Amino acid sequence: MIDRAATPLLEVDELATGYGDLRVVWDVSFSVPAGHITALLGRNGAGKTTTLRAIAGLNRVAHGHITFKGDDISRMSTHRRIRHGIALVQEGKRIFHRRTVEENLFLGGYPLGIGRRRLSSEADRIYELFPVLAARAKTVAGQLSGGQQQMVAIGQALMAKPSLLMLDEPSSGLAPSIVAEVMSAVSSLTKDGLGIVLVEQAVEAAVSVADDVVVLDVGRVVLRRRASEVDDLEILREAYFGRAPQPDR
Amino acid sequence: MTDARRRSLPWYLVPLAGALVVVFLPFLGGDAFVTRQVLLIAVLSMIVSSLNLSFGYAGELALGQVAVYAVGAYVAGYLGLHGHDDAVLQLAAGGVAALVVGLLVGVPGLRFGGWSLAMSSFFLVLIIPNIVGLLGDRIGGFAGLAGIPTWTLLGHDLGVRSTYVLIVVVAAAWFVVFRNIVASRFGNGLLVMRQSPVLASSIGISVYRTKLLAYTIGSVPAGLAGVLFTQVDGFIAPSTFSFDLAIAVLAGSVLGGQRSVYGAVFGATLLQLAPLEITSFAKYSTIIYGVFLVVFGVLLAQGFAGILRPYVHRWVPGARPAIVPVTPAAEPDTVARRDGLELEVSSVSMRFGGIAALDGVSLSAKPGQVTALIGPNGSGKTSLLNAVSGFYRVSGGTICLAGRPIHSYPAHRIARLGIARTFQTPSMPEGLTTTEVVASGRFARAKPSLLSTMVRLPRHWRTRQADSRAAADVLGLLGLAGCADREAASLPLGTRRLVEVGRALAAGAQVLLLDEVASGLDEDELDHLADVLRAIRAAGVTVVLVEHNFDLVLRLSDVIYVLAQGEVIAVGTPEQIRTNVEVERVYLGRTPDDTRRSFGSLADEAQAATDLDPQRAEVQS
Repeated sequence: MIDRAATPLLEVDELATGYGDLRVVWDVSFSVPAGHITALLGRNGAGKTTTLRAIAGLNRVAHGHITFKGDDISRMSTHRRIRHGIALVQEGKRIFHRRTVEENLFLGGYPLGIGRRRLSSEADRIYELFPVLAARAKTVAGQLSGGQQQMVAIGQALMAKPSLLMLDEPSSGLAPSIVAEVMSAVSSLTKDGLGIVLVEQAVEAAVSVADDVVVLDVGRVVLRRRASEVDDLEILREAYFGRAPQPDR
Repeated sequence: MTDARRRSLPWYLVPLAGALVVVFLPFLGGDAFVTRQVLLIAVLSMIVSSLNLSFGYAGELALGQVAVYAVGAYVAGYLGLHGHDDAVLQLAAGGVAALVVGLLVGVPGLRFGGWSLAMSSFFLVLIIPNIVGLLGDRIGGFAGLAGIPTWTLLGHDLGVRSTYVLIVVVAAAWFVVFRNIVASRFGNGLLVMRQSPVLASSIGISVYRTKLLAYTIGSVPAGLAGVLFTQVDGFIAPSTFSFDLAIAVLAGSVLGGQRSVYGAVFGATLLQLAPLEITSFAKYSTIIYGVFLVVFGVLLAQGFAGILRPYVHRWVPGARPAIVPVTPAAEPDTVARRDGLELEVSSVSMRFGGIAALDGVSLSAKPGQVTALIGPNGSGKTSLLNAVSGFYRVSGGTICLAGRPIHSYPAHRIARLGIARTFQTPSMPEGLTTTEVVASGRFARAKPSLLSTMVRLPRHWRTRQADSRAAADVLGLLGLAGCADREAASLPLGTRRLVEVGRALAAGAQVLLLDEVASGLDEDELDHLADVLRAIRAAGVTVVLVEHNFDLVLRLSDVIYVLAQGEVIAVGTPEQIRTNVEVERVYLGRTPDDTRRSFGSLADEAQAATDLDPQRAEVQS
């Protein structure tokens, strides 16, 4: 019997993946303990989103392993991974704009296979996390502000009671003050042991809430640090822009 | 011709022998029933080949072959009944009539694009009875034209046997022409166009004109088939040119293989002979054709031709279109000197709906330099490439190539001026070898007339030789000589990217636009690519590189432009860009205010934001 308490919630080991024969992620390893936030950073095209998609089962794992709660899920189908406790909030607040907040949340509870009344009490859990949404439960989601829509998207994912939440650029398209709001909500989610993988372009905002920082470049890990050790920008700058460029001429 | 070609000469002996047997069938003891079946197969084969050319090769579904067939038949029948019974005259008239109908349907159908050609040609078939009704007695009405006189040739009556021979010879001659059209750079160009019209225009093919040409030429065999058919029974009626026949032609094409010459004969033979075996077939014909179409469309995309082709290639010497082997003239790592052209983009703006994809972008790319274009997702890099290649129209500003404004030119014209490009997803038509794909870049150069291709005049062979030599040079340079005869579409991604670069080089690119050419390459492939790009730069080509791979950009570029939200936010050498504050800001996702802020204050602000009560948060957002 594996001692599950000692193994991290999620372990990504030498992951290689991509789209068809286009390889985007070459060699990525990191782990997420329960209750921790791992920020996955890097320039565009670095392979962050593709890594999340591979963990969710949307992209085929070409090489390496993904271990979740001690089980190798590399070959598991997406819907089984979701039922196993993985949730992915994709970039761009993909919610149903013409449905109410409540309906959107209920839809997220689908994998639980429970009735309307119990869904309603699950939704209350989300309203406690995001009080802003409680007042707007019957409002059509499309009328909400960008930040609130992002909360609906996160709430929808949380309805299925995941143990791992993956967020792809939750701050994208939001005003700086709203980014802070969303980030603080994200950091409050880990209290009950939820593990989070956070992909962000807004580097400082992500570092401010993360426990660990992993920077990718061209599908490989170029920096892995405790967030507390990333106390100035220089170290990230180096990871992003390289230290010693040697333009040939 | 080279020795290799002479050695593989006898490929055409097989079809030639087949044709000879068919021609002499009546003299070999074939009775009237057999010869009639043969003639009907010949006629149907020609109609099917017409569909193969426009759909299988040019990628444009057109169902109007039966209508053109009817036109050919009525022209011949009318002429015959009015005393013009010369075979050559009737064939010429039928062919011209077919060309005219092809143009009349093709011009509007292809102008509108999308499904309009399929729809307009489809309705053409449906209205045949109405047209015949309108013209009424002059062409026999619904009862048809009976007693069409037999042919004469130069004043001599043709007997039954000679008529038979003439019909088979005309059909065989068309198939020779058809084969010559598709087994040529023109045929390869059609396949590229079928794969992707965007790709086709990027190598200088005018998609509209080429499709129209293919469709119009494809009408001719259908019209000729109509003329030939009048001699089979001496009787035609509107019911002959039914919608069922249109479906049967489609079934024959799918069954035999749409992208095949001999598949047309094969499919037509099956369809002609199959109904004889089942007496009650007619009743269920539509259903059975439908099932055929579904089964073959799904299971056997290439029809019987696809199944048999590998065996034919193995057993018939030279059946595979031969690639003339040429020893690479260029040493790897050196590209023959060519003069790049300066590309000057001045205050270019482009809008999609209300969103500005590009907002006053200016850049200049010089010959013998690598100019890189980087920026976050959605910053407008690819939009700019597409504007330069003529796929998007700019809403403001100018794009000049060596001082000449090109922003209002169509894509194929820009390609012909010397701007070549690669695509984020390299696309290669199935069935083309690496050599053919690279040579397709030369489509717009030294173009031999289609006539010289059809009948294989010396001009055709000279161009073909030059194409093969250029392709071999480029493949040698790229280190891809080993893949020359392999199917390009089945090569690994990294190799396909190089093949795309090769296609652009073969096109004689003076400006080379590379769209994420390094993505998906492993480290060895990246190094190889970097070497190739250095050689291309050293040769004097203007290289524009859109790329995510920062390291490669820093290594290769002379000048880097950084785009963000449709604007150029920084220009400079790799070192300048690496240390540029603006660039850092964009990539690290910071707003201008953030730069002066510490991590601690951001966390405080986050806390403050959640302390707000819901109502106020709402107002704020």
